[in-house]
Amino acid sequence: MPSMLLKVEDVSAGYGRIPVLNGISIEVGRGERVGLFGPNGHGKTTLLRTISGLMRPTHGRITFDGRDITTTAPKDIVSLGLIHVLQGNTLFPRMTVLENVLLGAYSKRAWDDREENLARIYELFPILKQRSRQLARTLSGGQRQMASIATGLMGMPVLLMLDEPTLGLAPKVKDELATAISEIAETGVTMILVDQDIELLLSVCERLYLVERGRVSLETRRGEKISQEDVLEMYFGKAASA
Amino acid sequence: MKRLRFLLTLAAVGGVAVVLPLLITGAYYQNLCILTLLYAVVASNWDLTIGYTGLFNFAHIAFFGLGAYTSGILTVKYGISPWLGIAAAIALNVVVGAAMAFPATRLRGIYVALTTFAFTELASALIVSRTSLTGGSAGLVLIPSISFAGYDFGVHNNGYFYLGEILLIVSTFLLRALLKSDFGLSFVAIREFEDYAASRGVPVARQRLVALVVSAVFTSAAGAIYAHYLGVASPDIFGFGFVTLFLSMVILGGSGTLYGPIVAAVALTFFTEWRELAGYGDLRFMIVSGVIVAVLLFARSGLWGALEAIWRLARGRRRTSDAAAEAVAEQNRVPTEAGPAATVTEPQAR
Amino acid sequence: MNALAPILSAALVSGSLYALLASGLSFVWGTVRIFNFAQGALLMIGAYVAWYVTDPSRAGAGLGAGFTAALFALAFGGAVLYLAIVRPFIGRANSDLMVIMTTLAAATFFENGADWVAGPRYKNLPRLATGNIQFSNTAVSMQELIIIILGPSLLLAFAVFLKRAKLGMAIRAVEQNRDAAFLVGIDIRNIYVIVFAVSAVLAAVAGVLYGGEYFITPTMGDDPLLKAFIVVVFGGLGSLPGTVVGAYMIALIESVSRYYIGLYYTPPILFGVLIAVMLVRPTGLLGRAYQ
Repeated sequence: MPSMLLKVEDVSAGYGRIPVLNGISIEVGRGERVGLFGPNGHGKTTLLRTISGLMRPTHGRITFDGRDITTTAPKDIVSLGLIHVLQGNTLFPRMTVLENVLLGAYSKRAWDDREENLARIYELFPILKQRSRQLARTLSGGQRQMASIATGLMGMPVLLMLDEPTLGLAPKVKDELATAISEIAETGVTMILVDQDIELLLSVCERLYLVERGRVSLETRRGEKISQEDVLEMYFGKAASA
Repeated sequence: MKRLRFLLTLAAVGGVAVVLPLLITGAYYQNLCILTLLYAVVASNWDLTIGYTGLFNFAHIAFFGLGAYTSGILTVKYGISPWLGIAAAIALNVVVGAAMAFPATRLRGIYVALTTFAFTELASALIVSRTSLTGGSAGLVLIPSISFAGYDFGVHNNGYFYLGEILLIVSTFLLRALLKSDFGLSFVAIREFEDYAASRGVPVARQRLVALVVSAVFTSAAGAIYAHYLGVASPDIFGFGFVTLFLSMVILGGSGTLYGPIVAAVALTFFTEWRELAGYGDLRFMIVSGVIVAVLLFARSGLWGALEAIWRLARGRRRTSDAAAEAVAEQNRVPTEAGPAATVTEPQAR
Repeated sequence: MNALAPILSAALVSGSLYALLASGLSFVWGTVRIFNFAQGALLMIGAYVAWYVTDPSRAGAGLGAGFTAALFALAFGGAVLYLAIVRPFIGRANSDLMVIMTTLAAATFFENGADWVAGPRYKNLPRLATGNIQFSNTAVSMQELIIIILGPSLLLAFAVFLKRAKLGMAIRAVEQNRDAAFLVGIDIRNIYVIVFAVSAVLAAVAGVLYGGEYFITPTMGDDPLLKAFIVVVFGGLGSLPGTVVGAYMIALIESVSRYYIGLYYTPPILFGVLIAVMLVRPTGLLGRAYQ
């Protein structure tokens, strides 16, 4: 069994003539929780999209569980258990919460266990059970994020990638979500978490990557303890933490 | 040097134009040539909106048809001179073209196609309904032929030949001048990078208006001349047959090349009208349809692009391309089935 | 009052046919985001296939076989058509414009092909049932009654399928959020093919019904396509309920207009109404802007 669950090696990708990823490399081990942070527009989302197959790299290689998935189609990547929860607009607006969540289990792998997994989702996010018959677009921001994450979980992820789950949420809601994400992390799911909220990343993740200009400009070691000041310093330079 | 080359080309074209009608005297071949010239005007002008501005203006065929009917009705019912009829046809269609700018600038892509399509169908339906004025579905007959300086074109078809040539030359000349101007360069900017162009201050709405109006002028003139030449105008002129024919000229010739559709007009007019193939009318159109799809699939730049490629090869220039990487990167820019976000094609106010 | 029955019955018949054809158009638009100008030609092919299988001068296998043959032929044909002239263009810039051109070309191809193979002489399919029923002061034929009932029933079954079946949900998902659909493991390529095939089958049903009621000619699909076009834009591209409602509304307007104003003036009125709607509310009465 290969030691690294996910290996991204020297990947470049872009939109048309505009390159966004410039030879980026990251790795994620089994059961690890890895965080990505960095300025907006520097490639974090593009990286996730390239991993999940929504975009193709122009260069480089992506390996998942020993398999080369560089050019694999999204649906096949999903059936390997690599689940990507998009940033922002991730739900099917005119379908009910229940339908949305059930669709998360669409792949053959997850479909048969959907009833069981649904029950666990409802335990984790009771509000979704309450609103199960409501249309997704009527949910509040926080509820939508919960629904998105729930949909992702229904796919029985081996590796779960969350793109900015707390973006635009009120602090209280953020906390609720953060707790939920931690609980999910406790179950042993390997995770990649992208977020602006450094505190969240620090509390959930074991390792962090700082992504700037389409490559990793800084990486924290496993077990290395860093504080929020350190991160701000990385981010903004010494002046910011002063 | 450039100016000299230009003048030489002009002289050559002019020379050919003067001589050609004198060489081609058989009525049958003269007919083919006249039709070719008129069709070439329609096709090359459609290239202005389809190929250069990226606007699928379905109403283009309406310019042609309304041009024919306007001049036809005015001359038949009100006895005015065909020259005035042509002028009136142009005037009317300038207004129509300007009116089409309204949806063209407010709506995106497919909605423009649908709205202009609806307009053409409306025009067609209106004409068919006003039977007393237009002859209804049977068509308008007894449209007088054009005469100039006592010279009746109906008797001497050379007149139509020269008139067609003049129209094509003037149209091409003006279109070319427009496209080479700064104003014209912005057409391509809008077509390729619409949002970016708009954000850089390129007046998208104005460009579209100009393209529509200019293309209306010559197309309607061609339509009017067509009506006088044939002596009849029927509602078929708005139909899918003509639309497909002209569209195939634009595509086969190469959209966005201006000269391509003219070359294609020659090829396709002969192909579809040639009497030797008379029994194969259906098959000919089937082949033309197949060619449209094939060209769109494999040779987007059409005949003209092929000619240019041969020209480049002959001059020993090689095209370099980081083809693989560019192709993949291009895939990421526009949606594919296995690729990123869906195209947003919703009607938006600008 | 005595105008009501004939107007209403005509509207119900037309509405049903328009709804079938327009639903196919709207369905494809909502999911694949292209406008299929060959939809009318597909209707025509459905009618011809049914005729060739049914008519005693050809295969003579009876209407049931003819109907079934048309359905299968068009399910298959729809898929092939999609693969040949739609899919290759989806990845490109200006894909919706290019697909307009290729579907137009396909329509021309089919119409000329039909004329070539079958000849321009009018043909007819046998009626599904004979006899008349008297409603107030108008007679409604059994064929018309079947059309009135069959159209909405099929569409209702279709709506249920979309709502309940796993595949139906997948189709709706693709329509509502492509990216998210990718990421739950839906095979978008397959979905597109299926959507196209289904829309072709709807056209086939409309074709068989038309063929029994009117004449079968190579260009028989032109007018229905125009009507379907009016309906989908009027009722809302991509919205199935909107399309169905729009179909009956347009059929009603047409029926009233024909009765009082006459056959020739009706098309301009319809198109005038359409253009007015398009300028004021381009997404149609019940349509919506897309995400």
